[in-house]
Amino acid sequence: MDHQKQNIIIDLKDLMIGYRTRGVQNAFTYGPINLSIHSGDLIALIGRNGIGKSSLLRTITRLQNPVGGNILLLGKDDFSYNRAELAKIISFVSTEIVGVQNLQVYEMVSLGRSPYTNWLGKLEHFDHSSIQSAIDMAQIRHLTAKFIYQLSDGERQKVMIARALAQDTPVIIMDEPTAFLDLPSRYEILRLMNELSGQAGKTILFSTHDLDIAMHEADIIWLMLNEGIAEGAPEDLLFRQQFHKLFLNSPLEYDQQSDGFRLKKEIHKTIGLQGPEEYVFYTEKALKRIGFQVNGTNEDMIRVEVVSEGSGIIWILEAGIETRKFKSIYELTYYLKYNCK
Amino acid sequence: MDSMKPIHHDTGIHKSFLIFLLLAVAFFLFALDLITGPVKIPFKQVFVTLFYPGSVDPIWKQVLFDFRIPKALTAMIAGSALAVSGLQMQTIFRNPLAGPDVLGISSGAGLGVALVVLGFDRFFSGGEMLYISGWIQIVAAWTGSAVVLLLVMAVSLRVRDIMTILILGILFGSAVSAVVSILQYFSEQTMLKTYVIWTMGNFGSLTGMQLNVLLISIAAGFAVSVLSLKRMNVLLTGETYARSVGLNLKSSRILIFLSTSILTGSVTAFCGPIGFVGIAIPHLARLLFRSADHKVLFPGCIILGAIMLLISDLISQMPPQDTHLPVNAVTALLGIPIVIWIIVKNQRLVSVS
Repeated sequence: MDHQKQNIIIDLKDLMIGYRTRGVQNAFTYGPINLSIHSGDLIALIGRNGIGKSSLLRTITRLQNPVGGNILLLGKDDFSYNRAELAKIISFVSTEIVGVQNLQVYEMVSLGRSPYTNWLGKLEHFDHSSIQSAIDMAQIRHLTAKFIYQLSDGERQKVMIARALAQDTPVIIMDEPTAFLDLPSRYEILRLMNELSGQAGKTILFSTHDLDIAMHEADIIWLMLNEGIAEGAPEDLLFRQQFHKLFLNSPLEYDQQSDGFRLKKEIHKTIGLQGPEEYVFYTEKALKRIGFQVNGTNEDMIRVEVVSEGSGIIWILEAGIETRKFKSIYELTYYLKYNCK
Repeated sequence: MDSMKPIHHDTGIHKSFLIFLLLAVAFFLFALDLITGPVKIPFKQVFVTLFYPGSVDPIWKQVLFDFRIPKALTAMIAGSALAVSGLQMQTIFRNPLAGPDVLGISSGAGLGVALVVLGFDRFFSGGEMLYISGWIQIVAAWTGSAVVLLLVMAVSLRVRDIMTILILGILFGSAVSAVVSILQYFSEQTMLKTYVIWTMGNFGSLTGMQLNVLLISIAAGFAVSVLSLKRMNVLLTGETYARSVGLNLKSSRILIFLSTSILTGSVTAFCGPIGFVGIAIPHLARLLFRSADHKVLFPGCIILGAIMLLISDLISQMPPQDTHLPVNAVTALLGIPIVIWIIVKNQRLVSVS
């Protein structure tokens, strides 16, 4: 525990976040938050829309003032740092699309060196090597001569992360770094974040709606709920059944078998399923999807048997006295959906 | 390995070559401007007059030193100042259509001038007071542009939509014109004529003292501008990213607004409201230099702005007529096609300069 205490890089003390709107007293607040970030952590911040994830990240980055409490950065109150000093400790990546014409990728990444360059922003030899290693870490070397507007969303996001890497800060804060990205790009960004925290020792706090990704990649999850932030390894939170609170009044549930989050299904009927194991697996998946509880027995009113017949497979459905044969899972589920409910 | 290769990104040589080329063009146009005018001075004699002023016709000497050189210089200074001011506004408002005239900044400066010319100038019409009067005129113009700039900024912090801000800029401009019309209604005829001629734009009417005042002011404006080059580069990525790399937004805005007000105000005070240079030239610079770096665009705008107003001045005194066309009309006819091109190019006007 002592070892952990020494490694605290950011400490939130009774932090109240939100907006003070003139006229309305504290139009929106959330807190108090008491949490610590340890050096090298990869933390995923999860919560429903509008609960204040962005506000929390922006408050820690000091793009927004806290409503109350304080933030200790490396043991000192973060307001004792000026903005230039702060920029050497925390860097920020958002989903904001920066559409500057005529700005090359290399120049964009080099803007991350701003806290270190002189009044004219002249890049020294050291700055160039910093930029190049950021470019290599983010694996965007092939993009350096391109203009920002020529990039895909995923490429642009990697460039913005490279910019944060060139800023050379121990802490990187990212607001929904995987939003708007397709699945492969999301995993690429997450792989990059994982490497940065594991190999480069960066401390990363990011918000996301990608529960599955967060569960598999993050060291720690901050689960932002109405009653406060639940903190722990993804498995800790599963163990403590914390996710149920997030999904209160929502159709999602955690499916232990597949280790992921699924839409809750209302079970309409039970169905019997038999056959060789390799065929049963996918058939069962399909039957569950359309709302059946699948039993391996023969006692149900409706039963499906999967058999191989000649060169193909057929699905035999027995419902009472009726017996039907289907050539594909789709045909089977289509029939069940409209005839057996 | 791939990572061993150095990254080629520096195209500095091509950019400095372009700058020299443009400088040569500017110098050529400056020379052309010196030999053009109602009084015929042979090409060779212009240079003889410049370098051996004692040996030529005193009339030529007078025409060159008292009229043509100050006029050409004023045109260059005005073009440079307006172009840089437009560049700064497009960056800080993140708006490709921002410019001193579009957002009503020139009108603000015009109101300052109108107040001085139409309202108070009668107190300063004495010869000795001319120098002071020059400063009063220019300070009034600075104040006018700064007030409108602050108003536009205050609105743009609440309204993010580019079109709305442009419309508001036009409204501010109209409000200012309304005030000016009221002033005109109550002013004497001679003052009125001075004011109307001023609104047409002119580079040739500056006294030596006024040219001095203009030179000092523009030099100061450029100095402040140079101080904010790095800040403007950082601001390209938007305010959130700019602050996250350590930019102090407030002091940056103050610096950039200060130089924009000085540059626009000074030129407008003495040369009149000259439109479309501030909005068009920065885009021309971006197009030619293929860069968003203000360390490149700043000198680029200075030279291109000077070139555009030298061309405008040449067109405005084109033979056969002996009189000057209003410079304002010429810059509008040159600048508007470029502005239309900008609008057509980024049809969705949500993108950044």
